[in-house]
Amino acid sequence: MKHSYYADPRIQAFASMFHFGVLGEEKTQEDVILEATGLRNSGLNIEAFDCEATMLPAARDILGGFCKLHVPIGYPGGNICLAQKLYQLEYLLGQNIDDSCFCLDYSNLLDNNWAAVEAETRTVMDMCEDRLPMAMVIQSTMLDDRQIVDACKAIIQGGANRVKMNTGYGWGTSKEEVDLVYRHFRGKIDIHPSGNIRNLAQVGQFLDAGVSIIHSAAVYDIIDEFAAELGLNNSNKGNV
Amino acid sequence: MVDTSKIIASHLNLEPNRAAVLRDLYRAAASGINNFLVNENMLQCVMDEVQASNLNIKVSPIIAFPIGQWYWGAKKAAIDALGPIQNGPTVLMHSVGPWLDGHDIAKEEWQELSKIEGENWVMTSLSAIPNERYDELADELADAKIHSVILSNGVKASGLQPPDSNQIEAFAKSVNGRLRIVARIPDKLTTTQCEKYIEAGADAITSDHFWNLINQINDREGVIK
Repeated sequence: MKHSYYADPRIQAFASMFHFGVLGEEKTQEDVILEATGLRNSGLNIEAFDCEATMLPAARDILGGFCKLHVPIGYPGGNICLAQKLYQLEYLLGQNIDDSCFCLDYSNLLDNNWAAVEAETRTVMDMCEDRLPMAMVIQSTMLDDRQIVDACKAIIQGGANRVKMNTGYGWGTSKEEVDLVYRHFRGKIDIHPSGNIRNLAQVGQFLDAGVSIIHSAAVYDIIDEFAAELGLNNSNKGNV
Repeated sequence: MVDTSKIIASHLNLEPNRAAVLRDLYRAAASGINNFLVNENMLQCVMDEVQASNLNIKVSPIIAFPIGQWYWGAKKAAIDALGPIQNGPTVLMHSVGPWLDGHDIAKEEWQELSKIEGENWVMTSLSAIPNERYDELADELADAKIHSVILSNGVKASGLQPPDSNQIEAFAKSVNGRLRIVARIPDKLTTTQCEKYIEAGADAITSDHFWNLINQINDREGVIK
C-alpha cells in the first residue's frame, strides 16, 4: 500500500531508521517477493530489508539499489556452532551483502564467559575487516542488567561498535534495557532495538536514548502513526 | 499406548543453560531413553558428560535448528565440525521454505544428506506444507534414505502450530512405513494426547518435557515401561 504522505521528506527521514523483512523457516520466495515489492512500490526509504540467505537473490532482484539488504548470522538463537556461523559470514562477505547481525553464542553470555564473548566478537570483526557493518546480538531479555553491561563491554573490547538487543523471534527489547546501555556506553556503541516494537510511543522512547536503527515488523503502522501525528494522514490521506 | 521406548528426549531451548541440559541428559539416560537431541553449541559439554560418566545414550545436535534456511555448505560445515564429537545420528533442520519453492537448494540438501554415512534424521515443519504435497515430501525423504522425520521444530515463536492428529495421519499414509515418523510434543501435553498422535501414525514422540511425560506414564497403572 502506498500513501501520498510517504513522499513527505519528514516521513522519509523517519522511515530511514527502520529494518523490516521476512524471516522464518516456512517463508518462501513468494513471501519475500510480496513484501519486497510492496516496499519498493511504497517508495519508503527504509534502512534495510531483512531476509534469509536463501532468499537473497529474490530480494536483491527487487530491492537492489533501493535499500540495504540485511541477512542475519546464526539466527535466531545463536546456538549453532561457530564453524557454521563463520561459513555463513564468509558466504555473506562473498555476496557483498550490505548489512548483517551476528547472534553470539548465548550460552557464553548466560555463563558470564566474557572472554569467550570477546573472542567470538573479535573473530567476526577480524573476518569483516570493515567490509560489512555488523551488529552483535546479545538477546538481552535473557540477561540481567550487569550481564547486559558486561556483554556490551566484551563486544566493544572485541572490536565491534553495534549491539542488537534481541533477534525478535519471541523476544522483545524494553526501554529499560536500551536506557541501561545508553547510560553506560553513550556514544561508544550503536544500540539496535528489535522485537515487539509495535507503536510510535515505543519508537519515541528509543529515539530519546540515542537509537538510530530500529527493527520492527510493524513499520507501516508506526509510520502511519507518525504521519497522523504530523497531521498528514488526516488531510492528505489516500492510496496512490 | 505411550511407552518410554517411543520417547526421544530433547533439550532445545533457545535460552541455553548448561546445568539444565546436563540435568536432562541424566534424566534421559536414567529413563532408558536411547536418543537425546540438543542445540549445536551444547553438544561438546553434553558429550564430555556422556564420556565422563559412561552414559548409554546417543546424543545428536540438530544442525541449523530451528530455521534451517541456509545453503548446504553452511550445514555441511556444522556436520563436519560436530560429526566427530557426537555419538548419535545426523539430524538436520530441513530448508522448508526453499523446498516449498521447489528450489535447487532443497534438492541439493537431500542429495548431499543421502551421502552422509550412518543414520540420518530430518526435522521439518509439516504444518507449513500443504496436504497435497505430503506424498512428494515422503517420497523425497525415502529416496534420500532418511531414517526418521521429526514433524516440527516445536518453537512457539515461529508462529506455526505443531501438526495435529489429522495431519499426522495423512502424512503417515504418504510415508507408508518407509521411515519413522516422530511427532514433536508441545509443552504440557499429556500422555493421553500423545497417544492420539501415536494412534494417528507417529512412531515416536520427542519433547523437551519428556521427564513430565515419563512421570505421567509411571503414574499410570499398566503403562509402566
